[in-house]
Amino acid sequence: MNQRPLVLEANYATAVEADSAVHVIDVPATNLAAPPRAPSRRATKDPAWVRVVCILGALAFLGLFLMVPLAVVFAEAFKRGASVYFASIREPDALLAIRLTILTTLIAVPLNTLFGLASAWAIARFEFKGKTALITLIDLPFAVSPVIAGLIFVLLFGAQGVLGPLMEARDWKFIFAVPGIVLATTFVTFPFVARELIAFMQSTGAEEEEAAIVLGATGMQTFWRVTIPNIKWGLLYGIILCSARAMGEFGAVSVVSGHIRGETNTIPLHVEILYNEYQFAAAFAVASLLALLALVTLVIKKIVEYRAHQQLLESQKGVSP
Amino acid sequence: MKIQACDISKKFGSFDALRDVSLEVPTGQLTALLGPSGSGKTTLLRVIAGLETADQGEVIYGDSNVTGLSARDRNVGFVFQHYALFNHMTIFENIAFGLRVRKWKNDAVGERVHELLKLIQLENLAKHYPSQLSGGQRQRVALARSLAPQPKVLLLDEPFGALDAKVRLELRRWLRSLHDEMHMTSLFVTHDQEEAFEVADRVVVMNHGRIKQIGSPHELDIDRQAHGEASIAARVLGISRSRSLVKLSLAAIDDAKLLEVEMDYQRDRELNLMSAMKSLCIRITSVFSCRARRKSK
Repeated sequence: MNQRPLVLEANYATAVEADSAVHVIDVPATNLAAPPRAPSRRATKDPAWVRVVCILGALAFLGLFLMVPLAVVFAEAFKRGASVYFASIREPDALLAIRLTILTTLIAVPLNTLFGLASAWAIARFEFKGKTALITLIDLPFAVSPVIAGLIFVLLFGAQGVLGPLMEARDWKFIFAVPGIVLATTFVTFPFVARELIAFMQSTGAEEEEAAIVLGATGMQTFWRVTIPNIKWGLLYGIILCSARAMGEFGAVSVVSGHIRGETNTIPLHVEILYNEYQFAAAFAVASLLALLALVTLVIKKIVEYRAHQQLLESQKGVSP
Repeated sequence: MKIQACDISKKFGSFDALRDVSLEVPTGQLTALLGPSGSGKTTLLRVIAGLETADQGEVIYGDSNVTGLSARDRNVGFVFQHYALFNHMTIFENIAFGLRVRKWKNDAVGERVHELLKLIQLENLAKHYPSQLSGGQRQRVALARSLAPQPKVLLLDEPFGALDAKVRLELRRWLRSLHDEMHMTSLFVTHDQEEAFEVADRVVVMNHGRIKQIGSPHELDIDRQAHGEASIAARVLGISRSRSLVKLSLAAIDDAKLLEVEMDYQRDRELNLMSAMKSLCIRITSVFSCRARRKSK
């Protein structure tokens, strides 16, 4: 049977009742438009001199604002030899700063991963009132200057702050202490994971999760076996960005830390102190640590981006026949 | 096991997706839900599966009221239009998923999955990933996955919608023969009347959130001849215009010429409207009647 089994035919002769039939006919808009012409390469190409000027301009900008500073950091760090470099990193205050930075990152990043997952899940998978307000609120830490973010916590938890007397009565120390630094860092780095995941989860859609549930999976099984494998590259990307920012945060941490040497100094704050004390080689040595971390982060980020892109291509292949 | 949906209503915002729909899917039959997009057919299917909760009404499987049960506890097989396979799992693990979450023993899982792989004739692809398969193969895997936990009913949402015409034809015949073997109560959604009429035992025609007609393909055919009542999805093959006349050639999904419509357009305003519109409603009966007939070979 290669013929269509059913053929509708217009029959002009037959008389009919007035109200019985409504035919709905879908007309794709593309059928009405002329077929698109292949773009002409010639017309969209700029003259040679424009391209040369633009490329050179971009390279000059890149070199001046990115490459030269990076080179200077390492050059200054090793100016007085490798022994001075390693001595300034092994110095007790520097080690404590490194330890505090790692501690802060280890608390702030998992917290924001958790918050990010929860909020992205809510925003990408459910419809509710105030959704746009929530999205705006998640972006708030990006909009607010880090110094203001730090001040918020001083005004909230400081001795003269709203919760100050309460904190004092219980002998809790937030401001000029480690909890304040962790809190400020968490606030500033809050949007990274959430933003990344919202975009990622919205693009992957909920069908696979629905399939898992219909197949009898519980919420937890669906989350661990279907959702997480689907979003893992987006999640990792968000975590990397979040960690990089958590380690490098200066403004907010500077306001709440009180710069107590060996106690509330993170790496960026330690660099500033060293620099202000004219210990340039040491300052740059410690700074080079952050620069190294940034480079490593960039490499990992590039790999993750590549894998995420591959996954996206694969899932798109999954949709088309 | 028969499925009953009683007085189902569902709103999305201010849009009435379903208005007091009642439907009975008889035991062991393959029933098609046919209608244009936006007619509520997919929503009804999702309400029956438990993926959507109705604002009002009840869903009954056999003798048990499952309205309050989640999709997880209804034990239905559900096939999605875009397959919804787990891209990070092999074909074997995809089919095994429903068994693993039910804590089946490893041996039993292997046995059941191989049985299903044999059924869909993809035994040699067990270790492949979904992205390495063609669309038709993927949809067969999706079907096997939904059948693995031995569901009591099978629900399919436009199962052939994402496939090209040739594969679609093969696959729907395969589905029909599969159904003839298993006699599982099945409900599938389609906007393609040819598909509905070829595959299903019973066709339920929906539009604007309501059921318009129910009957066997044969009954509906006669009905349409008598009343000229049906909704058809079609697309425009060509438009020719003269000063006051617009002539549309319309085609069904597979490009066979369906009918030609001539319309009087005296005013320019309406002509502009024509070029911008996406869908067209024609009250056929006020112009001519529409007759259907079945052609065999």
